[in-house]
Amino acid sequence: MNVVCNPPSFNSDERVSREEFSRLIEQVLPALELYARQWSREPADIVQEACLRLWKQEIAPQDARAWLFRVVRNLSISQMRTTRHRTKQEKLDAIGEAGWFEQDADQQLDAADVTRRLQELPEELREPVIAHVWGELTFHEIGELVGASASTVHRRYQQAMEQLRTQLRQPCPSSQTPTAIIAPTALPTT
Amino acid sequence: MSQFPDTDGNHRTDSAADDLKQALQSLKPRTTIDREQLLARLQADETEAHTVAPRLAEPQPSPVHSRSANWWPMLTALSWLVTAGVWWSSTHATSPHDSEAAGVMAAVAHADGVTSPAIVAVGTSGMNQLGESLDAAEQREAVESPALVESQASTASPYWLTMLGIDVAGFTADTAEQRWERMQVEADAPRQSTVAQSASGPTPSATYASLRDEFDAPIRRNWLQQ
Repeated sequence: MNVVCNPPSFNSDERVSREEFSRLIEQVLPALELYARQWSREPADIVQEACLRLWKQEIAPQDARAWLFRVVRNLSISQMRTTRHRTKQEKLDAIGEAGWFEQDADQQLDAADVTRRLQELPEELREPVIAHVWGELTFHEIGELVGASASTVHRRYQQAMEQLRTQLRQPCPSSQTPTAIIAPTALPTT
Repeated sequence: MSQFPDTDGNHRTDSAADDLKQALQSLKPRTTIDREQLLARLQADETEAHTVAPRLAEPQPSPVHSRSANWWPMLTALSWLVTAGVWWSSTHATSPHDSEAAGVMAAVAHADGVTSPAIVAVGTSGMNQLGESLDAAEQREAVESPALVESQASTASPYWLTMLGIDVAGFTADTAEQRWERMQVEADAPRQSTVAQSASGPTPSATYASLRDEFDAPIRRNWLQQ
């Protein structure tokens, strides 16, 4: 079970302190990298650049977590535009060269399969899932990120989760084996 | 058998969505960033900033500086402009405009917090030469149009600085515009009377007005587009 940490709140009159910054990085770094991975094949560079920008802010943003996601999004999309000439499949192959998640035997789901299913989702559905599930942003914050209302984002999130639920029950087309490894005891029957 | 409800949409519950969310959250996003390395990099950046801070503290960055996302290329280009401006000022300065061009470039470099010794030296030299050439030019212009010199001394330099986005105390863009218009009227008046007296060629004031318009137009246009 994931432990949900409260994001540190910064005093908006001051710079981010090293302690606050370290705490935030500890919490949000993997999710930021995953978020950037949707568009970029060099997500680490983008995330580090975003962290540097936060560190250099004379006045800390009120919600540093949402601020970081916004910067990562802008940087990623900006970088993606410079490589627009590549085909969609090439991009998919590039970002899918490595899995998006660490593979662990105790996990309820197969990391490679989830990666593939997420990649197959349309961007407007995938983004709310990543931002909400791993980034722990609220639908309102995601709405501000993507320029949509919170209710629209919520609807897209629900639609994406529905698709994921369906697809994770089916065998992965590439392996022809059931890849949705869901521990029977972990989830309730409804 | 899947533990998730069927996907016909009839009996799905919020708890089912939460279950999927929790299952997804059990996957840890893969990260390739070394946190310690990142923090060390930030620490090094902070140390460097503190070392440089006293030199950058004065003067404060101008609005031009703060608007620029990546200002090093701009400063590099600016250093070349300053060099060229000083050279031009020292070799070709025949009117206040030439001197102002060099002076404004030096002033921009100064206001942008340029601390490179070479650029500071060039900028200081440019400011000094600006003063000398302005004095000489003003003396020449004074013979032709005392009103023009008076207007220029109080308006022209602040005008250029304001147009370039550099704050000048008590001097707004609107003020600059108004004074500039007034200066144009005053500059044209002696020229017209002189032209009426002699049609043999442009007077120094007419040359000055022509130079002013030529140099002014692109900067005014850029400023208006901002």
